[in-house]
Amino acid sequence: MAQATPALTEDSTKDALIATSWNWKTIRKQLPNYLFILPHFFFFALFLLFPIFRGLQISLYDWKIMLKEQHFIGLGNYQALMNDKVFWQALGNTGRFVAFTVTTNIVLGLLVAAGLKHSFFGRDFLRVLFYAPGVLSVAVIGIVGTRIWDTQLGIVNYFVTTLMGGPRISWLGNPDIVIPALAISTVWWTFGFPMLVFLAGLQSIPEEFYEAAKIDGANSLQSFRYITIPLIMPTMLFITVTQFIAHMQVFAQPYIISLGGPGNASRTAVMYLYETAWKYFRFGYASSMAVVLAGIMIVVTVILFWFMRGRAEY
Amino acid sequence: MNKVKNDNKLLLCLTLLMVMALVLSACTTPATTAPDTAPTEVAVDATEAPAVVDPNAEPTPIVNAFGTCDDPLILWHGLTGTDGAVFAVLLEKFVADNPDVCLQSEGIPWDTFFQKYPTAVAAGTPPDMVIFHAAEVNQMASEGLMLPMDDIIFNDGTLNKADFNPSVIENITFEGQTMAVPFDNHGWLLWYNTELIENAGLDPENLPKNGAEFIEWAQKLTTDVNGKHPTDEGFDKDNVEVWAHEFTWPRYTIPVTLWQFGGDVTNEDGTQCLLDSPESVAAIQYWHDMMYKYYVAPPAVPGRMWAGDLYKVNRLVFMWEGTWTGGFMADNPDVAAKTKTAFINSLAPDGKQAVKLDSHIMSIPTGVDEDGIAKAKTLMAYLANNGAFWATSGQVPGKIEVQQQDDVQAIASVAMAAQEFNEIGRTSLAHKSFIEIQTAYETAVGNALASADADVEAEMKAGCEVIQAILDRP
Repeated sequence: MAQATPALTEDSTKDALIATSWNWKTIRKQLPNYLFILPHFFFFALFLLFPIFRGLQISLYDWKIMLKEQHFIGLGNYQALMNDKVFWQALGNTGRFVAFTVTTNIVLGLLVAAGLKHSFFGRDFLRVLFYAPGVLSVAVIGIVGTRIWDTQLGIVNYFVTTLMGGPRISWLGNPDIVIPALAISTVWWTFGFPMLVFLAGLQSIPEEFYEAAKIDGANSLQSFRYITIPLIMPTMLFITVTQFIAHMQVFAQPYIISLGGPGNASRTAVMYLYETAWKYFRFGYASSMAVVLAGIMIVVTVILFWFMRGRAEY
Repeated sequence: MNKVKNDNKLLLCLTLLMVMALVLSACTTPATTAPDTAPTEVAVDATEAPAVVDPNAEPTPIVNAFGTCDDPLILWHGLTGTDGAVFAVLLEKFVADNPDVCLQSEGIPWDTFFQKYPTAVAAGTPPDMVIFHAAEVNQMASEGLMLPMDDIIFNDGTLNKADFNPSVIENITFEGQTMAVPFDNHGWLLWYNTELIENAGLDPENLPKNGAEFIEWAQKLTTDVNGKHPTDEGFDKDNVEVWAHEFTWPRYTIPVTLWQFGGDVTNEDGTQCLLDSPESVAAIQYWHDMMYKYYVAPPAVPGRMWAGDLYKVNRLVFMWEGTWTGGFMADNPDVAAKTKTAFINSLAPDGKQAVKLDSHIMSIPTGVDEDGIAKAKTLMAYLANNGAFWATSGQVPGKIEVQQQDDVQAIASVAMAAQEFNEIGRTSLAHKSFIEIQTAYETAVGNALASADADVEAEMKAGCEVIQAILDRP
């Protein structure tokens, strides 16, 4: 033991020297890489990280835009938020909108992509046609939506009443159907993107799998269930997460088409947040909403990753 | 190989077609007109003098420079409709009369305006002068965004507060200081189709005086596609051809009706919500009955067409709309020819009259330097004293003395509105959280009028809880 100690010390010093030299070499070697990402990191920190931390800070104050010294209220805004019926209603409306839109976009996107994967006359035209609404701005979607859902002069009620002899439906005036109406407009607008990504995902599945299944006697439905679905799971995860995050931030459709009404029936969380900040100038309270909303989105995204990653097969 | 080439050509052609279709679709006119925008053209009734500004003029540019100099007065406002064209001419006249001042006028949609204004002031780069609404003054002043105007323009006699509507002056007073100068008065006016009234066998010179009389009229005026009235057997409420009345813009219609019935949103000092008082509930119930019991007004649901679109095609008889509708009438002389204006008709049982007015006000943001204040003061005084030209946009000049001028009185709708505002006009509550209170009562009434099954009293109570929470906030 007594003899081993000096030897160990010698080795340790040698190792440390080698490690230091290796680290320095590694750093020198990696330095250009870090320099390459530095400009991006600078703007990322300036325009994303800083606002996030600033938002967290503002949520702890009764923030007045012109005050030099702000009034710290701790978790006061969060306490008020817990008792704010309008916020919870807006969050519920957002949840309903997201559930409808994301589910429909995924199901419809996958089915249409599966159909458009095959070769037939007019396939490319249909691909363009289905994706086309996605290039429109949300303002156009809003104006089109207003015309489509109008109770008296809207095209949907024209079909319902004049052609089908049904009752005149108040699509945007009925609290129970205003969210589905907005969601349908949104699906029409946005389902091209998931369709396109699903199409790419489907095309990456080797044809041999389907040929082997066919030889084993599997029909189309079984191939879809046991080959397509498992192999498309990574794409499904990507689509679900991105669609969830995008639609949780829905703002312009209710803002333009239904003005958040009737009453609060289509007021969404981000719309309420915007009004609180820029119409009522309650920036601290609006920031606390943003933090809660971000928290919900993070938690649900983590759950989605956990739930769907285990099912992803390659 | 050839097949692939042909497919690519086909795809290219179809894509081009699609892009062209999308571009063309983006060029279509919008379905609805935002109610808070001012007129689309210069205001004149059919019987009035022709508009000074060419109705076919190009839309007002967002940023407009008047005169040339190194340090222009920067003016921000939300007059982005065709009233912006009238305003631009007024500014041209100003620089012609004041060659030592030049200015840059920036028309910004109201939503964006209220994002830019506080942030610019906070950043220390405010414009020299802003124009917005009297109803918003208390909120802006409580945030420290405005300079008091007493020492700048009133105390030295440049302008006199007594020359303006006292209700408006009260509305723009914050902690004892007058924060702005009224540029105009605008608000609700009754526009009615005399031809439809005569066709129904009624006298357009002798309008209904109270709520009960109005329902009788409304039932005679409303017809379905088969020509039946709501009182007739087999009336098709789902296919109404002509409506007697329309809820139009809640921002004005709600307070007007509440006041007519003796109700209000809050008490006078803004400490207690009154939206659930029996008078207020009765006022909203009256509208609910018009929509779902008598079928004389279309349900007030989001996304419906603007009342003016119905009015234009002879499908609406009584239209409560803004003074700015004069511009709409100028655009539609055939409609204007059968239209008359009057004080807002009373819907209350006792015939009590009331109308809401607001005002485009001129103010100076916090942080403007002495030079900017001096220039802004010159422009404010000019605009206040030359409001007669502004009247051609349909709005009532802010100065009462200017309202009495012959060229203003010659514009029938402006003369009528001026008289109405001075006799029965009221402004909304001056409160630092007024915008939030306004959203709360509009939401409550929206819930109450959303369906035939809605419980008006319960919705008013729910709305009152929200409003009371705002009022109780320190």
